[in-house]
Amino acid sequence: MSQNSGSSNELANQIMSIVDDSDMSREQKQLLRELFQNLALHQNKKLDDLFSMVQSSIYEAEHTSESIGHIVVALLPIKHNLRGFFPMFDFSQVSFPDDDLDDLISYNEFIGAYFKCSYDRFLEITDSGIPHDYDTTVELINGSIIKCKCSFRLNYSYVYQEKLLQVAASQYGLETPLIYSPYSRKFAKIVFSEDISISQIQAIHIPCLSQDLAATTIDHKLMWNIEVTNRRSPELPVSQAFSPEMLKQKALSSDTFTANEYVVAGSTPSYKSKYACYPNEYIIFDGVGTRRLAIARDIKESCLYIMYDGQIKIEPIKRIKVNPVHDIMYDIDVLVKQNAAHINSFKATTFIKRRLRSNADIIYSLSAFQQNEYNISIADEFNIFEECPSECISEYQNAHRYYKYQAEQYCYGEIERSILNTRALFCCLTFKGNNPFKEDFARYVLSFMNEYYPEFHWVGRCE
Amino acid sequence: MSYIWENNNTQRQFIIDSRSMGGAIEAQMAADDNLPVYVNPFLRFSDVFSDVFFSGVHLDNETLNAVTHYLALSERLYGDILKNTRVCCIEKDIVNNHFGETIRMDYLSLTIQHQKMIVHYLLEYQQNGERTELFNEAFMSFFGRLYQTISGDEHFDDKYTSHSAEIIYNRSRNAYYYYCAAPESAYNTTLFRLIKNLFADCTRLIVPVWGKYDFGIVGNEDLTHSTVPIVGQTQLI
Repeated sequence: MSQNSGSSNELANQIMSIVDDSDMSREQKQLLRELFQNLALHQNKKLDDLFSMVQSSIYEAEHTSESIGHIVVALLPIKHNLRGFFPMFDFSQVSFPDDDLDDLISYNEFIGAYFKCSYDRFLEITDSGIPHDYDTTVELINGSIIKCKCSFRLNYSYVYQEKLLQVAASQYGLETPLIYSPYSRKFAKIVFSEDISISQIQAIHIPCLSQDLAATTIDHKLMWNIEVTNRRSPELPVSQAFSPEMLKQKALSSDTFTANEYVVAGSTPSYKSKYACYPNEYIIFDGVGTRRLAIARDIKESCLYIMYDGQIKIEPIKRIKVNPVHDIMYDIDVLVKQNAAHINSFKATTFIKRRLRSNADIIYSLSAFQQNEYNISIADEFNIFEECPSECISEYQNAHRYYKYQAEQYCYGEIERSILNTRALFCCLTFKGNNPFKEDFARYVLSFMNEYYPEFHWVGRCE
Repeated sequence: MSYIWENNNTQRQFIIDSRSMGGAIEAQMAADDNLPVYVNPFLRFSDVFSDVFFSGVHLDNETLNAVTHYLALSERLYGDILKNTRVCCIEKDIVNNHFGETIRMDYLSLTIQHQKMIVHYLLEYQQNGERTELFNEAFMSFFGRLYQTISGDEHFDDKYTSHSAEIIYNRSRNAYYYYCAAPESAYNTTLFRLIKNLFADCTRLIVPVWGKYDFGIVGNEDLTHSTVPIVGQTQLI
């Protein structure tokens, strides 16, 4: 800290001026100079350590929930392997029930396209209500070329997979906004006008969309640093012999113990279990709301305590593991620069604002997003309107959204991050930068603000 | 516990009580020296003492007095250090541009004394859940003069005593007028802009009105110079 170093250096200088004025020998003076300089350095270091220690404890006291860490979603060539990265969705394995039977049957046999154009343009191409047919050239493995027409249909496979993170966030009370992956939202299935065997296709060229398309599933796939393990047989708990009192004691006495906010609620849970679980792993439970589920984690012993206060026994359905990305950071930086990878860039502020009232409050809470990898900045000036201002960035459509409005929650028991519809004023933020995915980043920021700060309806413009 | 660290009265009887004592009761310390002081150190020192620590042992009053003072002083030390670190964290956030460039520049152009006041208000604002009235409090403490000017504060006219700052709401315009008797200098404008940006509700229309208006009650030194006219003790626009 500058104050510490200032005062220590000043003191050392004062002492040295006294020494210099005295009638000591030159060697003695030199010795004392070195001694006091080293002492001042030592003291600065000690005080800085102390300060950062206390600062981190303040940070911990402010941020009660866990942090899920960096989630990277990258569009990579099929043969490109990054350590710790896994395909976001395995199309050869249908693990998600889909309403659309047609899709279900043909899961194995379709080619998807990743778009890099703006979201509005993407919807115009895929979902405008008017079927668009585009001239296509299809190259087959045997060398023959077929000319036909194709159209696109929206595909939500990746978005469904992202919902796993939303469930984890609500069960574990995670504060970090979850994901930023424009490609999973701009993904559509290609439908050909002629009957072509999918497995025979080597390449597809759609000349009039060459500016809009990023890649297809023939040679690219979306990967993320998350490993999802599906549990077909129930995962066995390590033990069931613990009491809520013991957890309370642990929470009081241990530094490596984190609990979601409900850990003290419900003194006699009907169901409790202890699982072996590393700190970067999240076991997801089926069919439970967050109200009755208490989750506590012992980081040191790598175990997870679950208490559930309900009628039925709850079962773990999936285990997700978030692999840390710092050991492969070099690759990620390059991928981010090429706009192939997207990180949930969020640097939590020291203090959490409970509500936003003044200009400074808004700027402060937005500062969590200012240090992003995409050179996008959010302007300090913003405007407040009574009506929704024109020319704002459009919202993602329902299925692509990170959150739902509360009125849209039809199904009971469905876990969604939801926001209230209030008669709040509109706060319009301005996003600056040259990144082609600026609008998507803006939507990511706006969805976080809408979810956590319902004082305003957050809307944005790009400059 | 403030009584304990402020008064080293060895004659007064101290009783350590872990059962019935909460922080609120402790705060209402009886002023009468003849009454015993009930202290519950377990509230804050639960990791050092278990509940049964004092139950079997009967310490004489003087030792108990010393122990309690020691605990109270160390608690105060922790509290002070924690508060100072929080203040440092806020200061660091401002300097590192987490509050935006305008606020950073405004903050750095203030005097050290005003910087300290701003940071303490920010801490209070943060700890009290961003309450609205804090802007008015900060405004009055920076621009209002309750008794006399802070001596040596060059930004204010020494003549102004009371009523040098007023807040008036105009319903028809839905605007809040902040009258400051201080001159519209670059420093004062910066200070006002800073506290407005930091604490004021950004949906409100807030208009500063600068300068000296010689309204007031002639002959009454306290009320001679005020920003808005006074009738009786009520000021009018």
